[in-house]
Amino acid sequence: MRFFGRCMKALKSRIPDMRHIRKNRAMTTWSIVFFLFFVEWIIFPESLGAANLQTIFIIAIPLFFATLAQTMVMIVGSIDLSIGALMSLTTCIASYLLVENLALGIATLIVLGAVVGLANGFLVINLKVNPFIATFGMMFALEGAALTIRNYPGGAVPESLLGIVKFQIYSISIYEILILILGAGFFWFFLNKTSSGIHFLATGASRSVAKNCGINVDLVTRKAHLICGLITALFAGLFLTIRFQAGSPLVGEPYLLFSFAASALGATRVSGGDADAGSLLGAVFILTLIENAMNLALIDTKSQWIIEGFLLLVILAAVGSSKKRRSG
Amino acid sequence: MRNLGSLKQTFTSKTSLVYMVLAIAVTVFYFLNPRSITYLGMTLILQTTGILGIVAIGQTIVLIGGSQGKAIGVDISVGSLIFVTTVIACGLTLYDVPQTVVIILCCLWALMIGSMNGLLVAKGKLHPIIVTFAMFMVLRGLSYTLRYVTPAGDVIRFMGAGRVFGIPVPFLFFLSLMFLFVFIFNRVVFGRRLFAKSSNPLAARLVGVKTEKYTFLSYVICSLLTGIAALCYYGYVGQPTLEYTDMYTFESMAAAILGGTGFGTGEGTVLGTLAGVFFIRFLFNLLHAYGFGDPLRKIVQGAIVITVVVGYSLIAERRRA
Repeated sequence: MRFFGRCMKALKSRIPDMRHIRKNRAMTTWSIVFFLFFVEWIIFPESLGAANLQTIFIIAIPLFFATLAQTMVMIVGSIDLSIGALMSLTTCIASYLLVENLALGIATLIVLGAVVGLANGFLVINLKVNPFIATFGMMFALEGAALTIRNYPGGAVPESLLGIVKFQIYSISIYEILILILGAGFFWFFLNKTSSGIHFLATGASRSVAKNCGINVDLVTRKAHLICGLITALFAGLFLTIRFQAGSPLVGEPYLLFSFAASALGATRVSGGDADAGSLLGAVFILTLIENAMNLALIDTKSQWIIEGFLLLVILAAVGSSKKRRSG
Repeated sequence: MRNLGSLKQTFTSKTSLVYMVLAIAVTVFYFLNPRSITYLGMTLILQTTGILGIVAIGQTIVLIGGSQGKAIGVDISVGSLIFVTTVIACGLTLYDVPQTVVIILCCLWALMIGSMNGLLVAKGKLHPIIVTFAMFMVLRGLSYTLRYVTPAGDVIRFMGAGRVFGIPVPFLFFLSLMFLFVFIFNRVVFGRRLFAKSSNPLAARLVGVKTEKYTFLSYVICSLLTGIAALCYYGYVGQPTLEYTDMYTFESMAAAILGGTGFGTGEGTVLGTLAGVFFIRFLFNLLHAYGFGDPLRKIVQGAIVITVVVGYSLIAERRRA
C-alpha cells in the first residue's frame, strides 16, 4: 500500500507538467488540424496531391490575414465589422490597378487600408462611437463603394503575383508556407517580445488599469485599428484577389464570419486581452480543411453556408461550455 | 413624483432630442419631396413603417437587455429570419395548412431560433455578435435551399395589407406593441429588472435579479416579434426577396440606435425607436424618390447613422463636462 501511495504521490507531482501541456493551447488546436487532415486523406486520397495542397494554402492565406486583422482589434477590446467589405473593395481596386502598375497598385492598397483603419480609430476614440456601430456603418460605406467601382466580378491579376502561389518544389508551395509562417511568427513576436504587444494585451484586459499604469490606451486602440486596416487591405484583400484572379464586390463578405470563427477557435478572448499566434494559425487551418473537404465532396456553396454556420455554433457552444467548466 | 420617476423610461432628454431630429428631418424631406407627405404617401409609408417598427422594438429590447459581459447585445439574424419565416409560411400555405396553424407554427419557429440565440449567449457566455452572425449564415443558407412562392391566405393578407379606418394593420400592430412595451418597461417587474440588468449587470445580480434569464428572454422576445413582422411582410409582399429582407437587420438596428438606445447602458425607450423608425423610412423613401441606386443608398445610410450617433455622443459628453 505504501508503494501504491508513493506512486500516487509521484504521479501527482507530475500533474503540473501535464497541466502545462493542457494549457498549451496551440497543441490542442494543431492536433485537431492533423486529425482532420488524416480523416480527409482517408476519405479523399487525392487531397494529398500537389494541386489540392496548393488549394489549401490559397484558401488559408486570406483567411489567416483576415483573422489576424480581427484579432488585432479584439486584443484591445474593440471589434471590426468592416474587414469583409474592405477586402471586397480591395479586390475591386486591385483587379484594376495591379495589371496596370504593380507598385502603384500596392501603394494604393496601403493608402486604402491606412485611411480605413485611421477613420475607424478616429470614430471609436475621438468621436466616442461604439466600435460596433462605427465599423458597421463603415462596412456599409465600403460595400457601397465596392459596388460602385465594380458591379460584377471581373479584372485580372499580373502573372508575377500568381507565380507566388503557383511556385512549388516537390509539390510543396514554398512561398505560401513561408508567408503563413512569417505572418504567425511576426504576430507571436509582437505579442510576446515587444512592449507594444504587452500594451495591446493590457489595454484589452482592463482599460482603466492599463491607463493607470501609464499606457496611452487611446493611442493603442487607434494603432490597433490602423494595423487592422493595413493587414486587411494589403494582405487579406491582396491574396483574396490572387486566389480568385479577379475582383468582385461581395467576395469578402463571408470572411467577416470566418474571422470571428477562427479567432474564437484560436483561443482569442473576444472581449480582449488574450491571444495566441500558434492556435490562431491552427484554427485557420481547421476552417480551411473543413471548407476544402466540402469542396472535394462537391457540396454547393449555399449548403456549405448552412454547414459552416452550424459547425460554428456547435464549436462556439463547446468553447463556451469548456470556458465555464474552467472558471466554475 | 412617483409617476414622474416611473415615466423615466418613456421620456428622457434623449427622446425629446430624437423627436427634434425627426421634426427637422421631416420638414427637410417635405421641402425636398412634397409628394411623400400626402395621404396616399403616408399610408404607404405607415405600412412598411409598421413592419420595420415591430422588428425594431425587438431589436431595442436586445440592445437594452441582450448584452453579455462587456460585449454589447445585438441580433444580426433578424433579416434572414424574416426571409426564412416567410418562405416557411409560403410552404405551409402551399400544402393547404389552415392559416391559424400557419401563424402558430411560424411563431413557434421564430421562438425556437430566438431561444437558440438566447441559450448560446446567456448560458454559453458567447459574444452576441458572433452567435447571431452564425445564425444569420445558417438561415441565409436555408433560404437558398428552400424555395416556395405561394400567395398568402386571407388572414395573413389582412395582417400585412389590410386597413382598419384607413390605417394599415401592421402599423396598428406596431402601435399596440409599442404601448404594451411602454407599459412593460415602466410598470411591470420584468421591464424594471431588464433595465436594472442593462445598466449594471453585476449590481442587478447582487440584488437578486436572474440576469441570465433576462438576457435569454430578450433574444426570445426579439425573435418572436421578428416572426410576427415576417407574417405581416408575407401578407404585404406576397413573396419574399432576399435583398429587401436583409436590409431589416441594418434598418432595425439603425432605428433603435437613432432612437437613443444605448448599448447596454440602461438607456433606451420604445418611443425613441418610433422616431427612429420614421426617420429611417422617410430617408429610404426620399433616397428612392431621387433614384439613388442600391450602392449609393448604402453609403448615404451608413454615413447618416454614423453622423447622428456621433452627434449623440458629443452631446452626452458636453452634458457630462
